[in-house]
Amino acid sequence: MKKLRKAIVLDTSQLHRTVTRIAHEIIERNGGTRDIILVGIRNRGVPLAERIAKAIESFEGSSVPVGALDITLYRDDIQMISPNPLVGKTEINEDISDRVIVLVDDVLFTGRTVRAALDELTDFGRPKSIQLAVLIDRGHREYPIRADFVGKNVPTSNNETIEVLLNETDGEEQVVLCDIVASEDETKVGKRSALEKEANRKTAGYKKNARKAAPAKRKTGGKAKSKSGSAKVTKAGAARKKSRK
Amino acid sequence: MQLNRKNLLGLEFLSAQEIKLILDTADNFKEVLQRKIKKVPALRGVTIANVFYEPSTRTRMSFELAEKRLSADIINFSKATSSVKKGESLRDTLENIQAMKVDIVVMRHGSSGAHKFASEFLEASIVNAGDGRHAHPTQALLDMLTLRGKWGTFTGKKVTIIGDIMHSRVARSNIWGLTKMGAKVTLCGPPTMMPIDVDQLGEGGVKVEYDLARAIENADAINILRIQLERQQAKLFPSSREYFEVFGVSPDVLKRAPAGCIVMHPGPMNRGVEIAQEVADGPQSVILPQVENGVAVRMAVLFLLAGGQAEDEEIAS
Repeated sequence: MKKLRKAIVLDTSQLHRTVTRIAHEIIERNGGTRDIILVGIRNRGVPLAERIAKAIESFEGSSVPVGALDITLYRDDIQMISPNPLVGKTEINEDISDRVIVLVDDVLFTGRTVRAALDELTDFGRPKSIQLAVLIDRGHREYPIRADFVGKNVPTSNNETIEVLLNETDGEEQVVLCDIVASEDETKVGKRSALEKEANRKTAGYKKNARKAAPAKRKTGGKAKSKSGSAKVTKAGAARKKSRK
Repeated sequence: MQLNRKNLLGLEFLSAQEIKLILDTADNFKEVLQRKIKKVPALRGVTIANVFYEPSTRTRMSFELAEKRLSADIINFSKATSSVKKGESLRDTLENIQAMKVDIVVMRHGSSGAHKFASEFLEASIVNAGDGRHAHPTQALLDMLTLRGKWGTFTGKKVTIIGDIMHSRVARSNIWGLTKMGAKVTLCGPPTMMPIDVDQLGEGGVKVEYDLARAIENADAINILRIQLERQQAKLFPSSREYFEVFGVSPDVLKRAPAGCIVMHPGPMNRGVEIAQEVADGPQSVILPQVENGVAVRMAVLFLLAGGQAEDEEIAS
Protein backbone atom coordinates (compact mmCIF):
# COMPACT_ATOMS: atom_id res chain seq x y z
CA MET A 1 0.00 0.00 0.00
CA LYS A 2 1.22 3.40 -0.93
CA LYS A 3 0.35 6.75 0.43
CA LEU A 4 0.29 9.70 -1.90
CA ARG A 5 0.49 13.08 -0.25
CA LYS A 6 -2.09 15.41 -1.67
CA ALA A 7 -2.54 18.36 0.68
CA ILE A 8 -0.85 19.98 3.62
CA VAL A 9 -3.20 20.16 6.58
CA LEU A 10 -0.83 22.03 8.87
CA ASP A 11 2.54 23.43 7.89
CA THR A 12 5.39 23.76 10.35
CA SER A 13 4.37 27.08 11.88
CA GLN A 14 0.68 26.16 11.96
CA LEU A 15 1.62 22.94 13.68
CA HIS A 16 3.54 24.83 16.35
CA ARG A 17 0.75 27.36 16.85
CA THR A 18 -1.78 24.56 17.17
CA VAL A 19 0.24 22.81 19.86
CA THR A 20 0.57 26.13 21.70
CA ARG A 21 -3.17 26.72 21.51
CA ILE A 22 -3.92 23.24 22.86
CA ALA A 23 -1.56 23.97 25.76
CA HIS A 24 -3.46 27.20 26.50
CA GLU A 25 -6.79 25.42 26.34
CA ILE A 26 -5.65 22.76 28.77
CA ILE A 27 -4.63 25.39 31.32
CA GLU A 28 -7.82 27.35 30.73
CA ARG A 29 -10.07 24.36 31.14
CA ASN A 30 -8.33 23.18 34.30
CA GLY A 31 -7.78 26.61 35.81
CA GLY A 32 -4.03 26.10 35.99
CA THR A 33 -1.69 23.17 36.00
CA ARG A 34 -2.53 21.64 39.35
CA ASP A 35 -2.84 17.85 39.37
CA ILE A 36 -2.31 17.59 35.62
CA ILE A 37 -0.29 14.75 34.12
CA LEU A 38 0.17 14.66 30.37
CA VAL A 39 0.25 11.14 28.99
CA GLY A 40 1.27 10.65 25.36
CA ILE A 41 0.14 7.58 23.46
CA ARG A 42 3.01 5.96 21.60
CA ASN A 43 4.44 6.77 19.24
CA ARG A 44 3.69 10.34 18.20
CA GLY A 45 1.57 11.25 21.17
CA VAL A 46 4.69 11.24 23.32
CA PRO A 47 6.62 14.04 21.58
CA LEU A 48 3.37 15.99 21.29
CA ALA A 49 2.77 15.63 25.05
CA GLU A 50 6.32 16.80 25.68
CA ARG A 51 5.80 19.84 23.48
CA ILE A 52 2.55 20.71 25.22
CA ALA A 53 4.29 20.35 28.59
CA LYS A 54 7.07 22.65 27.46
CA ALA A 55 4.56 25.23 26.24
CA ILE A 56 2.63 25.05 29.51
CA GLU A 57 5.83 25.52 31.46
CA SER A 58 6.73 28.58 29.43
CA PHE A 59 3.42 30.34 30.14
CA GLU A 60 2.76 29.16 33.65
CA GLY A 61 6.24 28.71 35.01
CA SER A 62 5.33 25.39 36.57
CA SER A 63 6.17 22.09 35.00
CA VAL A 64 3.72 19.26 34.42
CA PRO A 65 4.81 15.64 34.44
CA VAL A 66 4.76 13.74 31.15
CA GLY A 67 4.21 10.01 30.78
CA ALA A 68 4.18 7.62 27.85
CA LEU A 69 1.60 4.95 27.23
CA ASP A 70 2.10 1.95 24.96
CA ILE A 71 -1.28 0.40 24.25
CA THR A 72 -0.08 -2.68 22.33
CA LEU A 73 -0.99 -5.12 25.09
CA TYR A 74 -4.48 -3.63 25.38
CA ARG A 75 -5.41 -3.70 21.71
CA ASP A 76 -8.72 -5.33 20.87
CA ASP A 77 -7.39 -6.90 17.68
CA ILE A 78 -4.22 -8.44 19.02
CA GLN A 79 -5.48 -11.97 18.35
CA MET A 80 -6.21 -11.02 14.76
CA ILE A 81 -2.79 -9.70 13.88
CA SER A 82 0.06 -11.99 13.14
CA PRO A 83 2.84 -11.72 14.01
CA ASN A 84 2.20 -9.82 17.16
CA PRO A 85 3.16 -6.16 17.09
CA LEU A 86 6.15 -4.83 18.94
CA VAL A 87 5.68 -3.93 22.56
CA GLY A 88 6.84 -0.50 23.61
CA LYS A 89 7.42 0.80 27.07
CA THR A 90 4.81 2.47 29.20
CA GLU A 91 6.39 5.05 31.45
CA ILE A 92 4.17 6.70 33.99
CA ASN A 93 6.29 7.60 36.96
CA GLU A 94 3.65 9.35 39.01
CA ASP A 95 0.76 7.93 40.93
CA ILE A 96 -2.21 8.84 38.76
CA SER A 97 -4.80 8.49 41.50
CA ASP A 98 -6.80 11.70 41.94
CA ARG A 99 -4.86 13.44 39.20
CA VAL A 100 -6.15 14.97 36.00
CA ILE A 101 -4.82 12.94 33.11
CA VAL A 102 -4.61 14.56 29.72
CA LEU A 103 -4.16 11.85 27.12
CA VAL A 104 -2.35 13.11 24.05
CA ASP A 105 -2.39 11.50 20.62
CA ASP A 106 -1.72 12.74 17.13
CA VAL A 107 -4.83 11.63 15.25
CA LEU A 108 -8.24 10.63 16.56
CA PHE A 109 -9.91 8.19 14.19
CA THR A 110 -11.99 5.15 15.20
CA GLY A 111 -11.50 5.72 18.93
CA ARG A 112 -10.15 2.22 19.49
CA THR A 113 -6.70 3.39 20.46
CA VAL A 114 -8.23 5.72 23.03
CA ARG A 115 -10.40 2.90 24.34
CA ALA A 116 -7.28 0.79 24.85
CA ALA A 117 -5.50 3.72 26.48
CA LEU A 118 -8.39 4.26 28.90
CA ASP A 119 -8.32 0.59 29.88
CA GLU A 120 -4.60 0.68 30.45
CA LEU A 121 -4.72 3.94 32.42
CA THR A 122 -7.37 2.67 34.77
CA ASP A 123 -5.13 -0.29 35.55
CA PHE A 124 -2.63 2.23 36.91
CA GLY A 125 -5.02 3.88 39.32
CA ARG A 126 -8.16 5.93 39.60
CA PRO A 127 -7.61 9.36 38.12
CA LYS A 128 -9.88 12.25 39.05
CA SER A 129 -10.61 12.76 35.38
CA ILE A 130 -9.22 11.89 31.98
CA GLN A 131 -9.22 14.39 29.16
CA LEU A 132 -8.22 13.83 25.58
CA ALA A 133 -6.11 16.12 23.42
CA VAL A 134 -5.50 15.31 19.76
CA LEU A 135 -3.76 17.24 17.04
CA ILE A 136 -6.14 16.06 14.30
CA ASP A 137 -9.65 14.67 14.52
CA ARG A 138 -10.36 12.95 11.23
CA GLY A 139 -13.79 11.52 12.07
CA HIS A 140 -15.03 7.93 11.47
CA ARG A 141 -15.53 7.12 15.13
CA GLU A 142 -16.50 3.54 15.95
CA TYR A 143 -16.66 4.05 19.70
CA PRO A 144 -18.42 6.78 21.65
CA ILE A 145 -15.29 8.80 22.26
CA ARG A 146 -14.68 12.48 21.71
CA ALA A 147 -11.72 14.73 22.28
CA ASP A 148 -11.65 17.63 24.75
CA PHE A 149 -8.94 19.51 22.89
CA VAL A 150 -8.68 19.30 19.11
CA GLY A 151 -5.96 20.93 17.05
CA LYS A 152 -7.89 20.71 13.82
CA ASN A 153 -10.93 18.84 12.55
CA VAL A 154 -10.19 17.32 9.17
CA PRO A 155 -13.05 15.51 7.43
CA THR A 156 -11.59 12.56 5.56
CA SER A 157 -12.78 9.65 3.49
CA ASN A 158 -11.85 6.05 4.13
CA ASN A 159 -9.41 6.14 1.23
CA GLU A 160 -7.47 8.89 2.86
CA THR A 161 -5.15 9.02 5.78
CA ILE A 162 -3.51 11.71 7.85
CA GLU A 163 0.21 11.75 8.40
CA VAL A 164 1.52 13.69 11.34
CA LEU A 165 5.23 14.19 10.86
CA LEU A 166 7.34 15.37 13.78
CA ASN A 167 11.03 16.10 14.01
CA GLU A 168 11.46 13.68 16.91
CA THR A 169 10.04 10.71 15.02
CA ASP A 170 10.15 11.59 11.34
CA GLY A 171 12.67 14.34 10.80
CA GLU A 172 10.12 16.74 9.36
CA GLU A 173 7.41 18.96 10.76
CA GLN A 174 4.00 19.02 9.13
CA VAL A 175 0.64 17.32 8.86
CA VAL A 176 -0.38 16.03 5.45
CA LEU A 177 -3.47 14.46 3.95
CA CYS A 178 -2.71 11.39 1.83
CA ASP A 179 -4.54 9.12 -0.56
CA ILE A 180 -4.19 5.44 0.12
CA VAL A 181 -3.39 3.47 -3.00
CA ALA A 182 -3.34 -0.30 -2.76
CA SER A 183 -0.35 -1.86 -4.45
CA GLU A 184 -0.70 -4.95 -6.61
CA ASP A 185 0.21 -7.68 -4.16
CA GLU A 186 -2.26 -6.27 -1.70
CA THR A 187 -5.20 -6.27 -4.05
CA LYS A 188 -4.55 -9.96 -4.43
CA VAL A 189 -4.75 -10.47 -0.70
CA GLY A 190 -8.03 -8.60 -0.69
CA LYS A 191 -10.25 -8.96 2.36
CA ARG A 192 -8.56 -6.75 4.84
CA SER A 193 -8.66 -3.25 3.57
CA ALA A 194 -5.55 -1.29 2.94
CA LEU A 195 -6.77 1.21 5.44
CA GLU A 196 -6.99 -1.35 8.16
CA LYS A 197 -3.47 -2.53 7.57
CA GLU A 198 -2.31 1.00 7.53
CA ALA A 199 -4.02 1.67 10.80
CA ASN A 200 -2.60 -1.50 12.33
CA ARG A 201 0.83 -0.43 11.43
CA LYS A 202 0.46 2.76 13.33
CA THR A 203 -0.75 1.35 16.59
CA ALA A 204 1.78 -1.41 16.35
CA GLY A 205 4.44 1.21 16.48
CA TYR A 206 5.87 0.31 13.14
CA LYS A 207 7.46 2.99 11.16
CA LYS A 208 8.12 2.63 7.53
CA ASN A 209 10.13 5.32 5.86
CA ALA A 210 9.54 7.36 8.95
CA ARG A 211 6.00 7.89 7.78
CA LYS A 212 2.87 8.21 9.74
CA ALA A 213 -0.29 6.24 9.51
CA ALA A 214 -3.83 6.65 10.68
CA PRO A 215 -4.37 6.74 14.42
CA ALA A 216 -6.38 3.70 15.22
CA LYS A 217 -6.79 0.24 13.93
CA ARG A 218 -9.95 -0.64 12.11
CA LYS A 219 -11.55 -3.94 12.41
CA THR A 220 -13.28 -4.41 9.12
CA GLY A 221 -15.06 -7.48 7.92
CA GLY A 222 -16.13 -10.41 10.00
CA LYS A 223 -14.78 -10.79 13.45
CA ALA A 224 -14.20 -14.49 12.99
CA LYS A 225 -11.25 -14.02 10.74
CA SER A 226 -9.30 -17.22 10.71
CA LYS A 227 -5.82 -17.11 12.10
CA SER A 228 -4.32 -18.38 8.86
CA GLY A 229 -6.24 -15.76 6.96
CA SER A 230 -4.77 -12.90 8.86
CA ALA A 231 -1.39 -14.55 8.86
CA LYS A 232 -1.35 -14.48 5.11
CA VAL A 233 -2.16 -10.85 5.05
CA THR A 234 0.60 -9.84 7.35
CA LYS A 235 3.05 -12.02 5.56
CA ALA A 236 2.96 -9.57 2.75
CA GLY A 237 3.34 -6.88 5.37
CA ALA A 238 6.29 -8.62 6.97
CA ALA A 239 7.99 -8.80 3.63
CA ARG A 240 8.04 -5.06 3.56
CA LYS A 241 10.65 -5.29 6.24
CA LYS A 242 9.35 -3.03 8.89
CA SER A 243 11.84 -1.69 11.27
CA ARG A 244 11.30 0.09 14.48
CA LYS A 245 13.14 3.21 15.49
CA MET B 1 12.07 -7.31 13.09
CA GLN B 2 9.46 -9.87 14.01
CA LEU B 3 9.42 -13.34 15.40
CA ASN B 4 7.80 -15.34 12.62
CA ARG B 5 7.93 -18.59 14.46
CA LYS B 6 5.59 -21.15 15.81
CA ASN B 7 7.90 -22.85 18.29
CA LEU B 8 10.80 -22.10 20.54
CA LEU B 9 12.86 -25.25 20.55
CA GLY B 10 16.36 -23.94 21.11
CA LEU B 11 18.43 -20.82 20.69
CA GLU B 12 20.60 -22.45 18.02
CA PHE B 13 17.67 -21.99 15.62
CA LEU B 14 17.25 -18.27 16.30
CA SER B 15 19.12 -15.42 14.69
CA ALA B 16 20.84 -12.72 16.72
CA GLN B 17 18.09 -10.30 15.65
CA GLU B 18 15.39 -12.61 16.92
CA ILE B 19 17.16 -13.03 20.25
CA LYS B 20 17.48 -9.27 20.48
CA LEU B 21 13.77 -8.88 19.74
CA ILE B 22 12.88 -11.25 22.58
CA LEU B 23 15.20 -9.43 24.99
CA ASP B 24 13.88 -6.01 23.94
CA THR B 25 10.31 -7.17 24.37
CA ALA B 26 11.18 -8.66 27.75
CA ASP B 27 12.72 -5.37 28.82
CA ASN B 28 9.41 -3.68 28.12
CA PHE B 29 7.51 -6.39 29.97
CA LYS B 30 9.65 -5.76 33.04
CA GLU B 31 7.81 -2.48 33.40
CA VAL B 32 4.47 -4.33 33.48
CA LEU B 33 5.76 -6.31 36.46
CA GLN B 34 6.39 -3.09 38.38
CA ARG B 35 2.81 -1.91 38.06
CA LYS B 36 0.26 -2.06 40.81
CA ILE B 37 -1.93 -4.26 38.65
CA LYS B 38 0.60 -6.63 37.13
CA LYS B 39 -1.64 -7.93 34.41
CA VAL B 40 -2.27 -7.01 30.81
CA PRO B 41 -4.99 -8.40 28.54
CA ALA B 42 -2.64 -9.28 25.69
CA LEU B 43 -3.23 -13.06 25.58
CA ARG B 44 -6.88 -13.06 26.57
CA GLY B 45 -8.50 -16.13 25.04
CA VAL B 46 -5.23 -17.95 24.47
CA THR B 47 -5.00 -21.30 26.23
CA ILE B 48 -1.64 -22.57 27.40
CA ALA B 49 -0.83 -26.03 28.72
CA ASN B 50 2.13 -26.45 31.03
CA VAL B 51 3.30 -30.00 30.51
CA PHE B 52 6.03 -30.96 32.93
CA TYR B 53 7.49 -34.41 32.73
CA GLU B 54 10.29 -33.41 35.07
CA PRO B 55 10.17 -31.62 38.40
CA SER B 56 10.60 -27.87 38.40
CA THR B 57 10.05 -25.00 40.81
CA ARG B 58 11.33 -21.86 39.16
CA THR B 59 10.65 -22.56 35.53
CA ARG B 60 7.15 -23.82 36.08
CA MET B 61 6.09 -21.07 38.45
CA SER B 62 7.73 -18.49 36.29
CA PHE B 63 5.89 -19.72 33.18
CA GLU B 64 2.63 -19.90 35.08
CA LEU B 65 3.05 -16.40 36.38
CA ALA B 66 4.01 -15.09 32.95
CA GLU B 67 0.91 -16.70 31.47
CA LYS B 68 -1.31 -15.23 34.16
CA ARG B 69 0.22 -11.78 33.78
CA LEU B 70 -0.73 -11.94 30.12
CA SER B 71 -4.30 -13.05 30.93
CA ALA B 72 -3.99 -16.42 29.21
CA ASP B 73 -6.02 -19.41 30.39
CA ILE B 74 -3.77 -22.14 31.70
CA ILE B 75 -3.95 -25.82 32.42
CA ASN B 76 -1.27 -27.77 34.18
CA PHE B 77 -0.01 -31.26 33.73
CA SER B 78 2.53 -33.08 35.81
CA LYS B 79 3.76 -36.54 35.17
CA ALA B 80 3.22 -37.84 38.67
CA THR B 81 -0.53 -37.22 38.75
CA SER B 82 -1.36 -38.03 35.12
CA SER B 83 -2.18 -40.99 32.94
CA VAL B 84 1.49 -41.27 32.07
CA LYS B 85 1.46 -43.47 35.13
CA LYS B 86 -0.92 -45.73 33.23
CA GLY B 87 1.47 -45.91 30.32
CA GLU B 88 0.14 -43.20 28.01
CA SER B 89 2.73 -42.17 25.46
CA LEU B 90 4.04 -38.65 24.94
CA ARG B 91 2.38 -38.40 21.56
CA ASP B 92 -1.00 -39.55 22.85
CA THR B 93 -0.77 -37.25 25.83
CA LEU B 94 0.03 -34.21 23.72
CA GLU B 95 -2.57 -34.97 21.08
CA ASN B 96 -5.19 -35.30 23.77
CA ILE B 97 -4.14 -32.02 25.31
CA GLN B 98 -4.30 -30.41 21.91
CA ALA B 99 -7.77 -31.83 21.33
CA MET B 100 -8.88 -29.62 24.19
CA LYS B 101 -8.05 -26.64 21.99
CA VAL B 102 -4.79 -25.54 23.45
CA ASP B 103 -2.85 -22.85 21.61
CA ILE B 104 0.56 -23.14 23.25
CA VAL B 105 2.22 -26.08 24.96
CA VAL B 106 5.01 -25.29 27.40
CA MET B 107 6.83 -28.53 27.95
CA ARG B 108 9.67 -29.94 29.98
CA HIS B 109 10.77 -33.43 29.17
CA GLY B 110 13.67 -35.64 30.16
CA SER B 111 14.50 -36.68 26.62
CA SER B 112 16.57 -34.43 24.41
CA GLY B 113 14.63 -33.73 21.25
CA ALA B 114 11.19 -34.44 22.73
CA HIS B 115 10.04 -31.00 21.62
CA LYS B 116 11.33 -31.44 18.11
CA PHE B 117 9.41 -34.70 17.94
CA ALA B 118 6.27 -33.04 19.30
CA SER B 119 6.57 -30.13 16.90
CA GLU B 120 6.22 -32.55 14.02
CA PHE B 121 2.65 -33.48 14.84
CA LEU B 122 1.35 -30.69 17.07
CA GLU B 123 -0.46 -27.72 15.63
CA ALA B 124 -0.10 -25.82 18.86
CA SER B 125 3.05 -23.79 19.47
CA ILE B 126 5.66 -25.51 21.56
CA VAL B 127 7.86 -23.74 24.04
CA ASN B 128 10.82 -25.68 25.32
CA ALA B 129 11.05 -25.45 29.10
CA GLY B 130 13.94 -27.90 29.10
CA ASP B 131 14.50 -31.09 27.16
CA GLY B 132 17.00 -33.58 28.54
CA ARG B 133 20.49 -32.25 28.11
CA HIS B 134 19.69 -30.42 24.88
CA ALA B 135 18.27 -26.97 25.55
CA HIS B 136 16.59 -24.68 28.04
CA PRO B 137 16.16 -21.57 25.91
CA THR B 138 14.13 -19.41 28.29
CA GLN B 139 16.72 -19.90 31.03
CA ALA B 140 19.47 -18.76 28.69
CA LEU B 141 17.34 -15.81 27.59
CA LEU B 142 16.78 -14.70 31.18
CA ASP B 143 20.47 -15.10 31.92
CA MET B 144 21.17 -12.92 28.91
CA LEU B 145 18.55 -10.36 29.90
CA THR B 146 20.20 -10.13 33.31
CA LEU B 147 23.64 -9.68 31.77
CA ARG B 148 22.45 -7.17 29.19
CA GLY B 149 20.80 -5.18 31.96
CA LYS B 150 24.21 -4.89 33.63
CA TRP B 151 26.33 -4.43 30.53
CA GLY B 152 24.11 -2.93 27.85
CA THR B 153 25.84 -5.08 25.24
CA PHE B 154 27.34 -8.53 24.72
CA THR B 155 30.02 -7.57 22.26
CA GLY B 156 33.44 -8.60 23.53
CA LYS B 157 32.13 -9.69 26.94
CA LYS B 158 33.55 -12.86 28.41
CA VAL B 159 31.36 -15.40 30.14
CA THR B 160 32.71 -18.51 31.84
CA ILE B 161 30.36 -21.42 32.39
CA ILE B 162 31.52 -23.70 35.17
CA GLY B 163 30.53 -27.22 36.07
CA ASP B 164 28.70 -30.12 34.56
CA ILE B 165 28.64 -28.91 30.97
CA MET B 166 27.86 -32.32 29.55
CA HIS B 167 24.54 -32.79 31.29
CA SER B 168 23.55 -29.16 31.19
CA ARG B 169 20.88 -27.87 28.84
CA VAL B 170 21.35 -24.48 30.48
CA ALA B 171 24.98 -24.44 29.35
CA ARG B 172 24.11 -25.39 25.78
CA SER B 173 21.45 -22.76 25.42
CA ASN B 174 23.66 -20.14 27.02
CA ILE B 175 26.53 -21.03 24.70
CA TRP B 176 24.35 -20.61 21.61
CA GLY B 177 22.67 -17.45 22.78
CA LEU B 178 25.77 -15.70 24.07
CA THR B 179 27.99 -16.52 21.10
CA LYS B 180 25.30 -15.41 18.66
CA MET B 181 25.10 -12.08 20.45
CA GLY B 182 28.86 -11.59 20.26
CA ALA B 183 30.07 -12.70 23.69
CA LYS B 184 33.01 -15.04 24.22
CA VAL B 185 32.28 -18.20 26.14
CA THR B 186 34.75 -20.27 28.14
CA LEU B 187 33.76 -23.63 29.56
CA CYS B 188 35.32 -25.04 32.70
CA GLY B 189 34.67 -28.30 34.52
CA PRO B 190 36.02 -31.76 35.14
CA PRO B 191 37.13 -33.41 31.90
CA THR B 192 34.61 -36.17 32.58
CA MET B 193 31.87 -33.56 32.35
CA MET B 194 32.88 -31.98 29.06
CA PRO B 195 30.62 -32.98 26.20
CA ILE B 196 32.16 -34.88 23.31
CA ASP B 197 30.73 -32.38 20.81
CA VAL B 198 32.22 -29.39 22.60
CA ASP B 199 33.99 -28.19 19.44
CA GLN B 200 30.65 -27.97 17.65
CA LEU B 201 28.98 -25.77 20.23
CA GLY B 202 28.37 -22.09 19.78
CA GLU B 203 28.74 -19.73 16.88
CA GLY B 204 32.46 -19.31 16.35
CA GLY B 205 33.28 -21.95 18.95
CA VAL B 206 34.02 -21.86 22.65
CA LYS B 207 37.15 -22.10 24.75
CA VAL B 208 37.68 -25.00 27.11
CA GLU B 209 39.75 -24.52 30.24
CA TYR B 210 40.22 -27.11 32.97
CA ASP B 211 41.84 -24.84 35.50
CA LEU B 212 39.20 -22.85 37.34
CA ALA B 213 41.43 -19.92 38.31
CA ARG B 214 42.61 -19.49 34.72
CA ALA B 215 39.09 -19.87 33.37
CA ILE B 216 37.74 -16.98 35.41
CA GLU B 217 40.68 -14.59 35.54
CA ASN B 218 39.30 -12.43 32.70
CA ALA B 219 35.62 -13.26 33.05
CA ASP B 220 33.01 -10.49 33.03
CA ALA B 221 30.50 -13.02 34.32
CA ILE B 222 30.53 -16.59 35.56
CA ASN B 223 27.60 -18.93 35.30
CA ILE B 224 27.87 -21.72 37.83
CA LEU B 225 25.94 -24.84 36.91
CA ARG B 226 24.25 -27.22 39.24
CA ILE B 227 25.84 -30.62 39.59
CA GLN B 228 23.04 -32.75 38.22
CA LEU B 229 23.25 -35.87 40.26
CA GLU B 230 20.01 -37.19 38.76
CA ARG B 231 21.40 -37.22 35.23
CA GLN B 232 24.59 -39.11 36.00
CA GLN B 233 24.79 -42.70 35.12
CA ALA B 234 28.30 -43.23 36.38
CA LYS B 235 30.18 -41.32 39.04
CA LEU B 236 32.01 -38.58 37.22
CA PHE B 237 33.83 -37.13 40.21
CA PRO B 238 34.95 -38.74 43.44
CA SER B 239 32.94 -36.77 45.97
CA SER B 240 31.04 -33.54 46.43
CA ARG B 241 33.72 -32.28 48.77
CA GLU B 242 36.44 -32.94 46.27
CA TYR B 243 34.40 -31.26 43.56
CA PHE B 244 34.09 -28.17 45.72
CA GLU B 245 37.82 -28.14 46.33
CA VAL B 246 38.63 -28.15 42.61
CA PHE B 247 35.68 -26.59 40.80
CA GLY B 248 33.54 -25.03 43.52
CA VAL B 249 33.40 -21.24 43.53
CA SER B 250 34.45 -20.06 46.96
CA PRO B 251 35.15 -16.46 48.00
CA ASP B 252 38.87 -17.15 47.54
CA VAL B 253 38.36 -18.46 44.03
CA LEU B 254 36.15 -15.52 43.15
CA LYS B 255 38.98 -13.15 44.12
CA ARG B 256 40.84 -14.45 41.09
CA ALA B 257 38.16 -13.01 38.83
CA PRO B 258 37.95 -9.29 37.99
CA ALA B 259 36.26 -7.20 40.69
CA GLY B 260 33.06 -6.55 38.72
CA CYS B 261 32.56 -10.15 37.70
CA ILE B 262 28.88 -11.11 37.84
CA VAL B 263 27.96 -14.42 39.48
CA MET B 264 25.03 -16.37 38.09
CA HIS B 265 23.45 -19.70 38.91
CA PRO B 266 20.37 -21.14 37.19
CA GLY B 267 19.20 -22.86 40.38
CA PRO B 268 18.49 -24.97 42.25
CA MET B 269 21.79 -24.49 44.04
CA ASN B 270 23.79 -27.13 45.84
CA ARG B 271 25.33 -24.77 48.33
CA GLY B 272 28.77 -25.98 49.30
CA VAL B 273 29.16 -28.16 46.20
CA GLU B 274 29.39 -25.92 43.13
CA ILE B 275 28.96 -22.61 44.90
CA ALA B 276 29.87 -21.40 48.37
CA GLN B 277 27.29 -19.82 50.62
CA GLU B 278 29.13 -16.48 50.71
CA VAL B 279 29.34 -16.32 46.91
CA ALA B 280 25.71 -17.23 46.36
CA ASP B 281 24.55 -14.48 48.72
CA GLY B 282 27.40 -12.07 47.95
CA PRO B 283 27.29 -8.66 46.30
CA GLN B 284 28.35 -9.99 42.90
CA SER B 285 25.51 -12.48 42.78
CA VAL B 286 22.53 -11.82 40.52
CA ILE B 287 20.84 -15.11 41.24
CA LEU B 288 17.59 -13.59 42.47
CA PRO B 289 17.42 -10.91 39.75
CA GLN B 290 17.78 -13.80 37.29
CA VAL B 291 14.60 -15.31 38.66
CA GLU B 292 12.85 -11.95 38.49
CA ASN B 293 13.84 -11.55 34.84
CA GLY B 294 12.55 -15.04 34.11
CA VAL B 295 8.93 -13.92 34.24
CA ALA B 296 9.52 -11.02 31.83
CA VAL B 297 11.43 -13.22 29.39
CA ARG B 298 8.72 -15.86 29.40
CA MET B 299 6.05 -13.23 28.89
CA ALA B 300 7.98 -11.98 25.89
CA VAL B 301 8.42 -15.45 24.41
CA LEU B 302 4.75 -16.37 24.85
CA PHE B 303 3.55 -13.04 23.53
CA LEU B 304 5.74 -13.20 20.46
CA LEU B 305 4.95 -16.84 19.72
CA ALA B 306 1.22 -16.28 20.16
CA GLY B 307 1.42 -14.04 17.13
CA GLY B 308 3.67 -16.40 15.23
CA GLN B 309 2.73 -18.27 12.12
CA ALA B 310 3.22 -21.86 11.15
CA GLU B 311 3.67 -21.36 7.47
CA ASP B 312 7.01 -20.55 5.88
CA GLU B 313 8.90 -22.30 8.61
CA GLU B 314 11.41 -24.32 6.76
CA ILE B 315 13.81 -25.20 9.54
CA ALA B 316 12.69 -26.98 12.64
CA SER B 317 11.34 -24.08 14.65
